Amino acid sequence: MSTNPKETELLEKARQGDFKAFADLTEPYRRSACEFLSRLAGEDSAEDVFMTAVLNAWKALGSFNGKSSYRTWLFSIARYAALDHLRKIKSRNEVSTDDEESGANIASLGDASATHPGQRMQDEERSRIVEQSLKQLPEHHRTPLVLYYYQDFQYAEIAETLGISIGTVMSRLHHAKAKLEKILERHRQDIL
Amino acid sequence: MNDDTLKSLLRASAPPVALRSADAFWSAVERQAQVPGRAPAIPRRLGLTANLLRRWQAPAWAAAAAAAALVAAVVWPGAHAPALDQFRIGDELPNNGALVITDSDTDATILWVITEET
Repeated sequence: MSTNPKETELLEKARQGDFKAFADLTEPYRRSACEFLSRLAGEDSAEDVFMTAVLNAWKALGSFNGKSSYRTWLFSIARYAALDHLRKIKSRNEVSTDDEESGANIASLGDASATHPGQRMQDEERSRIVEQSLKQLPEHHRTPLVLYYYQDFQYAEIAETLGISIGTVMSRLHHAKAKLEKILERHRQDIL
Repeated sequence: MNDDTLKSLLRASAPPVALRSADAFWSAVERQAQVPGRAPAIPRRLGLTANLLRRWQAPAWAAAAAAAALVAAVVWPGAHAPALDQFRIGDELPNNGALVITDSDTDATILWVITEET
């Protein structure tokens, strides 16, 4: 439910075709949505996928009935855009298998001067291990986990975003967490 | 590992996501949407109509074909569809009011018991 009065006002304007209002309405969620998408579609594609999602949201704004919050609706569209993006990549047989390179890119985004080189390397290694561990989870486990732990979504919001029941959300989170812990356990010394 | 530990670990390990400036991003979106100052492209009813058409086109054609076949079977009973157009009245009729209709092509038999209201 969209209870924020400013958001409701922007939504109404956006529905009437005010693109600026649509941008103002969506901008607060851009960073968190891109972070969410980076864990679904890869950080290199996150913003492009979000742009596709935003275009879809703009086109479908008339179908938003306000039963869920704008954020969960937007994230739901973003998730479909990510899945579509992954399907296209798969169909083109361009799935990136260069995980090491991906990890290096992740690490290179860090601020080189902020920490001691030894500490920085350790952080980078931990980041790489956690990201790779997340990638090993199937999408139906990874998505609720990312929404819950990174985006602070409540169970009900995850249920709305994914179109599943709250019970299913809890079950998937339980299994996702167990799987992730099992994977991370192998690297306990490197990450803790 | 409890929830807080896992959350801290995941968040501490989250790589930063490089984003364009808000202006650059939304200008690009607006260019792609190609609808500056116009209503969102949401011809909802048209969209629904198009979807409905797409969804029901094949079944509609199938139904039309089935209807045509049925009409043909009635108008030209000699065609493939079995029709009870050749029947004989059973011998039983005079005695107990039973009518036996037999399709000579398929040997299908209908026993029709005639009752009388007094």
